[in-house]
Amino acid sequence: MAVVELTGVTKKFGDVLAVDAVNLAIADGEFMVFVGPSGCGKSTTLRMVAGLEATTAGTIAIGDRDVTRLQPKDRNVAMVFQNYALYAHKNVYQNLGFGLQVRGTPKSEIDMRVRRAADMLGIEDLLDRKPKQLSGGQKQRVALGRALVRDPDVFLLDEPLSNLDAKMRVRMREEIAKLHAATGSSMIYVTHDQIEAMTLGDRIAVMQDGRVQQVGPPLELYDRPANVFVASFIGSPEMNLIEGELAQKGKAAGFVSGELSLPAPAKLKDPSNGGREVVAGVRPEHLAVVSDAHAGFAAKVDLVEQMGAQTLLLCSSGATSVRALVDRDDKVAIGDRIRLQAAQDNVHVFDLGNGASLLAG
Amino acid sequence: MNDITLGRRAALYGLVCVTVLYSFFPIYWMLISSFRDDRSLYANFSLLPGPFSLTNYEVLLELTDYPTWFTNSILVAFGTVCITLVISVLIAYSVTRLQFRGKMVVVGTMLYAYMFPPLLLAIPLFSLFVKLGLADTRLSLMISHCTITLPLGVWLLWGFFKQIPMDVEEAAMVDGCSRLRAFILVVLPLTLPGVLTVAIFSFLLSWTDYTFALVMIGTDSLKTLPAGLDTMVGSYELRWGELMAGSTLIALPLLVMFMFLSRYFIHGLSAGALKG
Repeated sequence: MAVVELTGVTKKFGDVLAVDAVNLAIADGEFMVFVGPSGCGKSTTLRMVAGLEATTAGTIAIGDRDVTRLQPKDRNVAMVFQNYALYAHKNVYQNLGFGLQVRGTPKSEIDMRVRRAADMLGIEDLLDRKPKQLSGGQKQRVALGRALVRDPDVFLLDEPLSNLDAKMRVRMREEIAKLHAATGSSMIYVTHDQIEAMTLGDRIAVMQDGRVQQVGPPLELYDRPANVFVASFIGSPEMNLIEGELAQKGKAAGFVSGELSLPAPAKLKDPSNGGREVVAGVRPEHLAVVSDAHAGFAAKVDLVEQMGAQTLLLCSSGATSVRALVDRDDKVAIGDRIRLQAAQDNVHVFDLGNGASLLAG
Repeated sequence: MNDITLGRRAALYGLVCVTVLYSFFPIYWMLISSFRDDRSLYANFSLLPGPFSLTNYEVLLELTDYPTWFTNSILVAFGTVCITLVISVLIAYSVTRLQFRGKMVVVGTMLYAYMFPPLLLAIPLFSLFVKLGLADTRLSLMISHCTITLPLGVWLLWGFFKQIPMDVEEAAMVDGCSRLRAFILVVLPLTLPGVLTVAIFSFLLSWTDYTFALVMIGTDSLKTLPAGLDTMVGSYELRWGELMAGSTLIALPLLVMFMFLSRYFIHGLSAGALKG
């Protein structure tokens, strides 16, 4: 159990800056998720923690040890790879015990720990099999088990579920969450899937272009995205982002973009900023269809996607298209004219230039 | 339609038969001649075996240096295999895993070297060995054989190492291995078919080589089998019976080897560089 601390961690591949001065502290027992689009530097950061990539600058500490220059074998970390990376020539038992065996653990203890891990993961019956005789889900369990038997300071998981089918992915996600609860170990988990990030992470670090854009608990990122990138990346379906300007409209400052209007949030840093060009954001699930002919803004329904419990409406207001996720509505049809409204607190405002949030706190 | 495919089939089978006959008849002839009585070799011979006699083998083993040549061949072949394996594994692994300047030049040069005919290399090599004081030794022959086995070994293993996913090795390193240990415990077992293929190939090449053996070795007691047999071809006398017996004995270890290892050899050739 340890705290992992990254200070100014930077990685360059030739002239390409893959990771740009990342500062991050992962608390003891915390489940930290690195999320971002491919090429954002999240895997590289994880691999630097593992020692599989050398850092160009900065330091990495695990517990009170500076591990920046240590070999992977001396860092006491365990890693789960996207492609499982099982040893094809060894059976499941040998795969699980390999890490202990090379460290010279007594056979009786290897046996005890391998069986305990196999029991936790429900793979006791597979111990004699070779990796090629296993399904994807079973392989990933073995890969998890291989990390589990080691009792490492920190678990590193590099997109462990992305090779599994959708159903298995959900099941393994739950198992990883349970595993984390049961072991209480620190884990760093890399994924490009924001749903995995939201459901698993104690905290999420959203990365883009080698930089950490925002770090925080999942719901904080959802409620108060620090910039346009985080706002669009976290949440599904994606947040509606509309360019327009802040306007003085009666008493309260509003947001206008053509025919579309939204109430300006109360937490706006500088409310008297009338006329300023901004990007407003509102999540599809925060738009509601209203019957009052004066509330919200008018929109035309372009497409209706029935999702079962909910209905996703693709609408246009003038030249702007917005998506609204509403409770199941069997009657709405393409071409309908409706009015959509968002609550004041659910509207986000970002700077048009650098994309930073203009909301206070 | 059916007639065409039938015709095609017949043609195909015919072609296969001709090829098999063409390849196997000399071997068959060598075998039955070696077991024949000396007199029936030249007169009244038939395509069928017999009359049976072991005289050729007795003469070969008792009156010639055949056992010495056999020992030399074994020593040179094993030496060649060992040198080839150690060096080609190291080179192939380095060019697949490590980043350094000019690594593609290394691979390219290797293949280039492979294109030279042995005879072209043999003479300059011999003069080098003379300068180094290695001329007329078994070691010089091993080194000469490596000029052919090494390039192909590197080329084959390069294809193999490329196929081993990097993360398996990385997993072993995170699991507690140094790079060398990860290589020995994980990468090498996974590339065993490739390593065996290179070993078989090197053995084969060294065992059957005639050109280098002829140029490099002058002393009779250091000759290998193919060059040794050659000394039995005299100006006034051609001892076909013993020659055939000697050739059969040269082929015997190869046959045994292939019976046990052909599985790896074929797998190695298909999974290695040819596919890469």
